[in-house]
Amino acid sequence: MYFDLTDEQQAIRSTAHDFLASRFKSERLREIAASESGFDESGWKEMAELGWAGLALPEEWGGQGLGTVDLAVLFEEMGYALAPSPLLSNTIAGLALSVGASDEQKERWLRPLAEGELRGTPALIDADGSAEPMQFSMAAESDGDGVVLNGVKTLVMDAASADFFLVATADGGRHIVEKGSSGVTVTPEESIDLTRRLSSVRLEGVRPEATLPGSGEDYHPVFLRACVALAAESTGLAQRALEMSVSYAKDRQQFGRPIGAYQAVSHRCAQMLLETENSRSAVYGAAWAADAEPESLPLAASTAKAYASDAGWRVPDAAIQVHGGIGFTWEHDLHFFLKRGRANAAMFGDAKWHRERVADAVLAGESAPAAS
Amino acid sequence: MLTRGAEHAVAGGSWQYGFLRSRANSIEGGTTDILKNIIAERVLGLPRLR
Repeated sequence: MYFDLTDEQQAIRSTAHDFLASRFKSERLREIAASESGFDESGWKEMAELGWAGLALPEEWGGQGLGTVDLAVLFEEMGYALAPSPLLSNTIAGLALSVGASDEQKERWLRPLAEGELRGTPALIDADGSAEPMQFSMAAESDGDGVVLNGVKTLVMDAASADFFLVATADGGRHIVEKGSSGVTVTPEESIDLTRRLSSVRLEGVRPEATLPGSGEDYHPVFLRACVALAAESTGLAQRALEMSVSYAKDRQQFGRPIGAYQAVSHRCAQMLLETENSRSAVYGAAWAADAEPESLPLAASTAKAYASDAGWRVPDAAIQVHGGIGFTWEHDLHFFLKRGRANAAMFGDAKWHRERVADAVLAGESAPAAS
Repeated sequence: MLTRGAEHAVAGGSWQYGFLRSRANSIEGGTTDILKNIIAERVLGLPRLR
């Protein structure tokens, strides 16, 4: 199979690359990282104008109707720029609404989300629940005339800038809870990645705005696409860390030569390239499968998430070594990349969890996306 | 541990074969280190040591 990006996808890549490079220079990134909410309102508005909020959401509901490959292109660039933005969480909420919501609910929630007017984020992980992805313990209690939610969701992305949460319950259901609803308390968590904030969301006798008719099964392909988008972002982190390292290794002199002349450094850089390229191949293989060959998506998405989970922090980690002392300082940006990489590695199933899914799939006789 | 041809080898000994074969793959056609030199110089444009 010959795979390459279309002209339109190349255009998304170059627009995203240039836009993000101009908006998220180091000083701006640090301002946002140091801010109370970690949210960049003006950047969000511009991204919404570019159509990114609904890039892979259906056209009939205000989105651009593009595919998972387009999404991967965008998120690779988001990672490259280390853009602090609720775009990932908003996209995942939008994908879940696309598959699980009624038409009426889509009109009310999905359309404004796709147009960037309203932001949503998934609230999945139970504070007292299992670490197993996509298994939830919060009950969708019934009190006669509707659902009532009680409990704490944690590691909720971008809660400060979200208008509503898509809360998962043990029955596989999803419920729309507005942030301002009575009984909802959002508490920011201290976490390593200052460029993507995590919060806990406490729900006490909360009546959701809406309960989606979709079932747990419906959201599995959404989870897999989220894994691909996150893996794409990690690939972008790795690419940037690699470029920073190669540039530094050519420039920095030691013992009368650029340090990149020494094999301890050059081989490390070569290894970083291998991991970055392999990560990218796995990501685009999975993104392609999501749109063109969904039956091979589970294997392809887990392959991509397993590989990129590792590469996304190993490459920035190696980059810090190449940079020596300067790479270890707060003033150098590399630590932000390492921290995002570590956080991405843990989110939506870590490398070990996804390798187990790969083993399950391979032993069950599944094959990689269209090899021929 | 059992190799190809052994009566009780798992999957006909293919895992064991692949393990040993991969050692040779890391050497023939250019060792890993030589190929990393080439990647560093030709792909990444890093300077030569000499």
